Amino acid sequence: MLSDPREPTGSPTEPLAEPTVVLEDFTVRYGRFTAVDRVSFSVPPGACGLLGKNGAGKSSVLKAVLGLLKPSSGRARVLGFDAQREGLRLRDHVGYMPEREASFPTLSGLESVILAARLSGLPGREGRQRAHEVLFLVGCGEERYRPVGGYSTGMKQRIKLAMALVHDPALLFLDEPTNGLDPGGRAEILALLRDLVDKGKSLILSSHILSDVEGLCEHVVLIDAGRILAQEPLSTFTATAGSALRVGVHGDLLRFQARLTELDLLEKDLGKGQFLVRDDGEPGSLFGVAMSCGVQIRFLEKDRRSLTDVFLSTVGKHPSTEGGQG
Amino acid sequence: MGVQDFGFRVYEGGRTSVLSRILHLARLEVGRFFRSKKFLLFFIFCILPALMQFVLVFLEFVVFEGSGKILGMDVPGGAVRMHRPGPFQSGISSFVFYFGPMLETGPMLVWLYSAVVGAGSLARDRAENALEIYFTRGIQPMHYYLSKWLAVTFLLLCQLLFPFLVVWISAVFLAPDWTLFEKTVGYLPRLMYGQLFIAGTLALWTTSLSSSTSSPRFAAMRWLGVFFVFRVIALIFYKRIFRDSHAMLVSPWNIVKEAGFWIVDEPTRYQIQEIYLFPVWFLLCVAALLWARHNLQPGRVVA
Repeated sequence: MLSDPREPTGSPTEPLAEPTVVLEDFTVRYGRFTAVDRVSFSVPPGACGLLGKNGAGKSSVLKAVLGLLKPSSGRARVLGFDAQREGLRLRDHVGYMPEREASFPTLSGLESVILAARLSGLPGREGRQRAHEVLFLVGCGEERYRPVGGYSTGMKQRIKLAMALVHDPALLFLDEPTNGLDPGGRAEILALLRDLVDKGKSLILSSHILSDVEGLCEHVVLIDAGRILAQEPLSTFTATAGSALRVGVHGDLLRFQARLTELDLLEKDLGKGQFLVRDDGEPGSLFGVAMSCGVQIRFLEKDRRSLTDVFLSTVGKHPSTEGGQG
Repeated sequence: MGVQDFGFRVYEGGRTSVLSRILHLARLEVGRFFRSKKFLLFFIFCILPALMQFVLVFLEFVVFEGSGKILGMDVPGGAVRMHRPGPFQSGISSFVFYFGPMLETGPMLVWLYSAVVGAGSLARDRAENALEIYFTRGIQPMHYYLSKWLAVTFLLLCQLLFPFLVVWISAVFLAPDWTLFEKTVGYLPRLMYGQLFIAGTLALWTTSLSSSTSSPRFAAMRWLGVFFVFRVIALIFYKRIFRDSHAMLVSPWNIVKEAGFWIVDEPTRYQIQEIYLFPVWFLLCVAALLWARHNLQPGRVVA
């Protein structure tokens, strides 16, 4: 029997070569309100952060790629499936962790995860076995036998993550996955997600905790007022606009600083032997300065801003519409 | 914490059919009710007419040893209501004894029970945001609705049909010979499709009505209110204004009951002509489906 070419193939250690999500000229409207406006982007395999303010259109994008929203125009392809026409089959291969509390309070954690497995097409015995496995994976012990209604917020998050993972999806959509988790739990879940990415899973992370995105994602898509502001690798996104280098030195710091000032290279003294210097495109000149001053260069790297800085500066430039669909 | 440490495996097996997912969801819905002790007590209360029939069977065949008819247990004269005897007055060997008790003497119990098992079914999921989980999985709103309908139909059959099958089986085994069995075994198919029709219709209406709210209590009250208010209006039309039995078409309960009696070929209480009865029944069912479809659009519920 010939296999479906769109079925995710390959071992878990081989990442998918094709983009996981491709949106083309995608528009979503709620009545007169345009939540997503002619958006086009593609998400490469791996971890991708979906960033934006409240009401920027992130949730609308997630719902649209899950085939839950009918676009006014354009199309979405996810894992090779047409999100509108093949939504049912697509959803067997993706996992979705909603931001809102979504649970079955009268069911136990185990039953909830088994239900998620069965709804994604896993047979009974396999569903039960995998449910136990992913519950161990997300750090849920004997609590799994208690009704979900009595769980803490953090435990509910773990159950939601287990429900998203149980059917072995090729792509995970995670909406604020670390909400309500204590620092230890957060680190555990992020490590788990990192592991999954290393094993070949792709994920799209929508989060307001930018340090989570920074620590996990290789790629970011920045959305504001239903439009894409940026879509690029995180390293490019956080790099200073091609103008500064961070250098760490050991030796006569005052002399080195004076020489940099004299050559109009110094941008900022960062303290503890670190300086931010203007990148004139010739790092050799910096080594020349260091040699002439008798200091030793310990490290030299392109200056990077934090994701928060970049996010605030980028979104700040584009006035957005507040209060729309998230 | 490594993925492999906890045995996370790649799933290489096939996927089950949509029907299997629907049935799993329906089983879960039924199980949710029957594991609650409160619900079990409520259920026993709601099948009181069936328990009364069982007592009658017991009295007839064990206490009176088949002489109950002579002692006045089975005398329809004087107990004739409208065109036919009531279920408690009819004999153990009559069809109405098994089909009628819940519909004739316990409609309030049916309304109450259907409100609890049906009216809250979708509303509860809306309140718990569970629809967001369902609709982002491999089922569509239509499949979800079908699973709820199946579950509620089964739960209603637990009240309308299964207890009376138990009563019938008890009567057959307590009877001194096989005469009762020979006389009544032919009732079974009619009993089944008649009650299936009524349970299916009620399930369709109640689950649809439940789809537009996030409050199970409000959904239940609305369901009871619809049945009660329209029945009162229908009775006022029938007894005071039009004095025509077709005025009972205003009451959804009377529509489903009369249609149920009609399809099992028993005399109906108000003798509404089927040419009016079934189009109204059909319109109500279509309206219910359209209402559910409108309220279960993924874009609306997964907000």
